[in-house]
Amino acid sequence: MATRTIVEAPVVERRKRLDETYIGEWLMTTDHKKIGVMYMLTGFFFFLAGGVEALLIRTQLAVPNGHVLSPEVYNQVFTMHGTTMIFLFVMPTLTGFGNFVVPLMIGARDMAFPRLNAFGYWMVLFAGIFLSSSFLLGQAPNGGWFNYAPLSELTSNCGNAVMCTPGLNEDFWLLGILLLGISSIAGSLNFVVTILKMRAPGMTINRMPLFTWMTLITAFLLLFAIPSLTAASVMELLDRHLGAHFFQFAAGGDPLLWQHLFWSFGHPEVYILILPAFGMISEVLPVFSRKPIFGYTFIAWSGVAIGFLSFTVWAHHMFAVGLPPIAQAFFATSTTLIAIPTAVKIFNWIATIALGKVSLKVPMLFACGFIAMFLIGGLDGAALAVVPFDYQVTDTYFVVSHLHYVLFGGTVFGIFAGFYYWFPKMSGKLMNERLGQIQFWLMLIGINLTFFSMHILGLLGMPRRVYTYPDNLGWNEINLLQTVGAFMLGLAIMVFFWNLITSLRSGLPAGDDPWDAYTLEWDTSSPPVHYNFLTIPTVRSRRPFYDMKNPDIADWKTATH
Amino acid sequence: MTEEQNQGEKGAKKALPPKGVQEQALSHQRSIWPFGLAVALIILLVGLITNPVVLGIGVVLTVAAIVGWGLERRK
Amino acid sequence: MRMPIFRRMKHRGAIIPIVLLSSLLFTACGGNSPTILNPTGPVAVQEANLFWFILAVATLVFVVVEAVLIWSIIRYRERPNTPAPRQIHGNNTIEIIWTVAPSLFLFAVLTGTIYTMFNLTNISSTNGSIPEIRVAAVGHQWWWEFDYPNQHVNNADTLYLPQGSVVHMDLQSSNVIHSFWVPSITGKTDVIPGHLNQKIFRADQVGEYHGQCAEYCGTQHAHMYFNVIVLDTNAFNAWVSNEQQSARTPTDALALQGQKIFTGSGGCTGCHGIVGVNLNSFDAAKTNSGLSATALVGPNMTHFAERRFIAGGVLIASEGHNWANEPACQLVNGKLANKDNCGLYQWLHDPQAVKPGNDMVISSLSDSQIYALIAYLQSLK
Repeated sequence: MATRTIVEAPVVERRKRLDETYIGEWLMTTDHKKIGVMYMLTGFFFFLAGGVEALLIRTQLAVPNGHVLSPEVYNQVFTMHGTTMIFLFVMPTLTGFGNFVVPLMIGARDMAFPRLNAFGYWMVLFAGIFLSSSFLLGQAPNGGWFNYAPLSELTSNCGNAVMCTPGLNEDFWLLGILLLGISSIAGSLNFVVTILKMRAPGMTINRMPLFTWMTLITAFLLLFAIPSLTAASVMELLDRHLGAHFFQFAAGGDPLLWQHLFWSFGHPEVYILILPAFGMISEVLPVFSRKPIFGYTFIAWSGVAIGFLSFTVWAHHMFAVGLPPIAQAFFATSTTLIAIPTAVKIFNWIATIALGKVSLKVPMLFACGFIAMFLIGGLDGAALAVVPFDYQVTDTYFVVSHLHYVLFGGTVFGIFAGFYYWFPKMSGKLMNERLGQIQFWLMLIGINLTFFSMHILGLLGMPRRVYTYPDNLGWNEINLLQTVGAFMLGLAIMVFFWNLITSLRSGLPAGDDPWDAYTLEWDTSSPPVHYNFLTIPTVRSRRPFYDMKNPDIADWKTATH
Repeated sequence: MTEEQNQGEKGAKKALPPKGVQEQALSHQRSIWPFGLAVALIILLVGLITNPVVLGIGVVLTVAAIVGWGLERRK
Repeated sequence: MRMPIFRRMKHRGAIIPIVLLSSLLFTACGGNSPTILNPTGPVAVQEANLFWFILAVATLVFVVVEAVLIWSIIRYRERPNTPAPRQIHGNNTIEIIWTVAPSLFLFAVLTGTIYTMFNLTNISSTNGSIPEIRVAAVGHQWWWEFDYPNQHVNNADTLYLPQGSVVHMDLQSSNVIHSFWVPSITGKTDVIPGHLNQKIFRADQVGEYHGQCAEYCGTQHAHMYFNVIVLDTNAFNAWVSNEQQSARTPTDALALQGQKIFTGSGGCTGCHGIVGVNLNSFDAAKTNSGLSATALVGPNMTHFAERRFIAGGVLIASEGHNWANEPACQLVNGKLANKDNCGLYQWLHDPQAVKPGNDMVISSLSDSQIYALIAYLQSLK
């Protein structure tokens, strides 16, 4: 920096206003980048919490007739593991990425509604604190993350001497969910308007990055799915506290109503959890294969297809409840249908890698690992659509295997791919490659060690959500193996946090464009200035930054879109 | 991407205000209302299962926060 | 830049599928397991066959796709002089091919799925003398009640079935949602309060099979087992005849003492029924609402001595024994030699310690009271 004129600022004689302090800066921020970072930090904190819960579960299940946790505590822990991971880790983290990256990707200066954005974040933080505080009272939710009625209701509906959940446990869950729903709706509204109305000139829908596509579809899914969950939660609160009978058969209600409402949310929810990860992979693979994403249109529109179809499959979580066979046949059909766009995506991703120039940096390792692991989870899902087979394995460890392959091997790998990819942009520093590789391999091996044998455990008859098992059913060695794998995953997470902390402190400077990437968010400083772009760029293809760097072979010259 | 390059593409050179002032104009306006409304809502929802008094306080705070949010001057 | 850890390994990609698939050998470890792959009835057989088909297909797809993925990564990895690759954006033909081909295949699988689904209930009897039997399975927290309306028999924890008969099962719950599952005989169906679910299956092999609740139902969901005992026709008829009898009056003095405790004020009859003692018939145990949730909280005890399970299988008599002849529970001079080895003693001494949270909350009994009760219960053959 050469000489510059120093403008005398007036001497501050009053106390700093709140928004001039460091705390105030964060408490009152409406900057999408800061909000994105806060979402991610909160998400990672709850990842640790959910991980501790998982390790507690695995320690209890390591040997038969374990005594590490009492059944009451175990049931709270497994409920909170699911609830925390889904609502307090994955959703906030994905929202955080969307918040940070999407406005930059589309050439905007911020989201459409900056204050609403901040509001969404604070709701997540408070909901997370609220839900976690239930542990302090020893009354954490204990009805499973899916909170089926009538178990989750009050005494009056549960046989003679048996209490269901008369304490505050389920009330924590229901209210926490309502708070989180408000946050999700706020965030989704923001994303929809931002993406539809604030793209840079020239960036048509068919030119916007795939991560933006997937975030848009996810936002629509949330807008249509959360209402079911909200309705069900309010109905159950009314049952529990104001004498309503929505889910109690004795007074004309129906427990199955809860399941239909919950899964009408719950199934789109799992696509909400995976689509943004699909988007992140679709950004990382091209950059590290040095060629464009193969089949952009097909990937984008298969995401839309998945979005629509996700509302037609919900009862495949209910094949064992006694629905009429015709209904089951319908849901088997719709579930089979939804496998097709997912398969198309996987083929397109592999075709992106093939004939490319593959650089196996850490983001790419996680992206490839995503494809490999998500394939397993996806095949499990297609298997579960085979209804008679589902009759045997639903509610067993087979399903636990499936969900962890798609959520850990899928979403979490996607999150790490995105994190290693965009961390340099957010912080100006590079994460350590060697530590990243160690983390990746530990995770890849750990995932398979922990979750693959759960397929077998399910086939061998072990049901889900059991706090212990007897020693004569042949499940002992497999459970022990899974516990070892789980601790390996814990170790991998420690490696990640060590990497994160040391990289923040003394990572190599990243520069503006460490990966030689293709999309607009890289056309900024690292970290970006608070107003993102001094002048909003004009876009002429799907890879605007590639075009700027390679004007002779720009996409708008060689390809027609 | 530098300013010159961008202006070159567009053709005519536009006179931009001095960088410092322009940056000021583009800065994010901070607001306490998102945080405030979130606090109010959580008090309201907690009040739903504990005390009607807490619920009442929550309702009042929520209304206040929404009003404050709406009346805030935005540039 | 090759990953330092794998510098010498050429085909490391092959490791993963090999390790994963070889772990299927673990199915051999589960020698005693209630595996779904050891079916003993037509429903389970069809469900298991579907699994083998799925496994074949999934393995094929997995191996092919993973191979292409790993090959692509290795073959196209950047090396020092690799030029920039051709910037291919897509290929419509190949997109159509790899959309249509999987679709056709998936629909073939779907057809098989729906056909099998409707065919599962299409089973006929192989038992000439007992073509059909109707049983109601009622889920409680946390044990299973089995009621045979036509035979007027009511039992708990163990489901007796005649070999080869078509079983028509009515599935009910007394409080929350549970799920009835016997992996070797049939896939699961939930029991939902207010709903009458029904199931049809057939057990083709004599033997004893493991069953359990498969829907999270509260604190002791993990201890809601039952067993299924499949008997040939004669043995089954003999069992039914015995079960239809009212409870025997004990002759032994200690057992009579036990009966006094059982029926005394504040005694067990507050929650348990015994036909001939505090119940007139097995049907009297039911409520009038048509659903056979018992009005009494605990299981029917009329022929308790024949049973092997207590309280959803949290305590089980040793192999080949029931509570009548369980070696650890044999009273010698009115006492137990080693009382802590006797499941019946443990349960009566402190049911909450054995199965925390269950319905049986009793004031503590002295050892002599427990021995008397044991004598009585062992007389209920």
